[in-house]
Amino acid sequence: MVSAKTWFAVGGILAIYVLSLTYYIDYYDAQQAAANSVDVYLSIVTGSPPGVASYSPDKLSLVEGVRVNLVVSNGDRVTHGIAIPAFGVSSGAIPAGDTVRFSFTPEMSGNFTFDEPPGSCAASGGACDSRAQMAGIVTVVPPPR
Amino acid sequence: MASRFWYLFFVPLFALLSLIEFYPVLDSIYSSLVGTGGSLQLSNYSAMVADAAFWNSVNISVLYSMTSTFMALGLGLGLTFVLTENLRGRGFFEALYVTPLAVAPIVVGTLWSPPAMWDDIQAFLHFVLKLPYLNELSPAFFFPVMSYSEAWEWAPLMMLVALSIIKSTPREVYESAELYGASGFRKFRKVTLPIVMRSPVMQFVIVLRFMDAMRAFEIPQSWAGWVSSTTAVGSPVDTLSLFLYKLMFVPTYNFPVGLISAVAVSLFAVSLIAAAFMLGLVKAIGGR
Repeated sequence: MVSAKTWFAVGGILAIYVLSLTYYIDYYDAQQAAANSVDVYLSIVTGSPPGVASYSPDKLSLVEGVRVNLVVSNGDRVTHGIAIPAFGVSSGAIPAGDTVRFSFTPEMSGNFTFDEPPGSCAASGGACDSRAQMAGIVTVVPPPR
Repeated sequence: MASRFWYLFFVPLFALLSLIEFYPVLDSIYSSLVGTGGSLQLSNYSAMVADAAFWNSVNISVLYSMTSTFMALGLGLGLTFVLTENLRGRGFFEALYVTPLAVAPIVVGTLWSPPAMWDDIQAFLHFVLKLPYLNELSPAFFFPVMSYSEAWEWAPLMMLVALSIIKSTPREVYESAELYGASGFRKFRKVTLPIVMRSPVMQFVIVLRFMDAMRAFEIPQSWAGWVSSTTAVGSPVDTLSLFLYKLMFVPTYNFPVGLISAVAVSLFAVSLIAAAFMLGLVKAIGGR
């Protein structure tokens, strides 16, 4: 009969092996995602008067399934933000002069809007409302065959 | 007179060992503890521990060692089973099975990597059997193949050790099994396998092979150029030795001698700890 000590030893080896394999697969997947990602740069350009800003460019073209690292820099003198409701991503508040970076993977093709979420635009001197100008379109194309 | 100065006989041995063993190891440890200012500090070790590529290499080394050692053991025991049967031409098969041991590891790595063997196999699978191509760059393919190529090379060692253990077993043990009507496979499972696995020699060989596989370099390096780049660390085939090699010989890393020494000391420590652990586990499985 196989002793309990032997079973314990076999179980120990299997546990270590499975943990090791899981870590390996996770690391590999993360590497692949990072290697296959694209960097997209977006600026918030100042308008006149302050608070009336717009996104530049206001049209983005992405590929479905390819991870996107969106780098948004706020060139205006007030706080702004950006959100893509269709993908459920938002930058949060971007203070004047700052750059934020966040990543997401578009899982569906089509045309989607991105704009400034309510309350993102904040100015020390008073209210600002540039939401009408701060909008753009993201076009997601299916992956090439 | 001679018994008073017995220790002098060890002086040449210790002198040679000091030169070729103690001095390099101690110098490595010293280099790993020297920081940028020239003072003794642990900055190299903290940089190493913070590096995700280092932990990836440790993990791959452990995974690769375990996979190739157990594959080698399985394959070796399988070959032993074939050779314990009384077949004609047993001597020829024994010589044939030992051949992989004579092949240099870098040749094994090159033979089993995509351009050498797999091009022909893929062509046969695709054009003759009309099957789709295998994805050679997927870890589900290259990791088992890499481990298997290491196992293929070292299984004959396991086989030779198992055969020598079996030959030293009294013949009466097998004769009594045959009297009870045991088939060849049952004899192997109930008699040969326990005798081989309980032998301290076999346990030692398994641990030795495991420690050797922790330092594997040639076979992962053959695959490095195909699945990743030959210069980027953190690739999915980077064992600790390959990670060290890349840090040392790729100019872009600026030859961080302190970090390389720290990784080398870690390789030494990881191998020792893993071997001690493995020995305990193998002894527990063997039942001694």
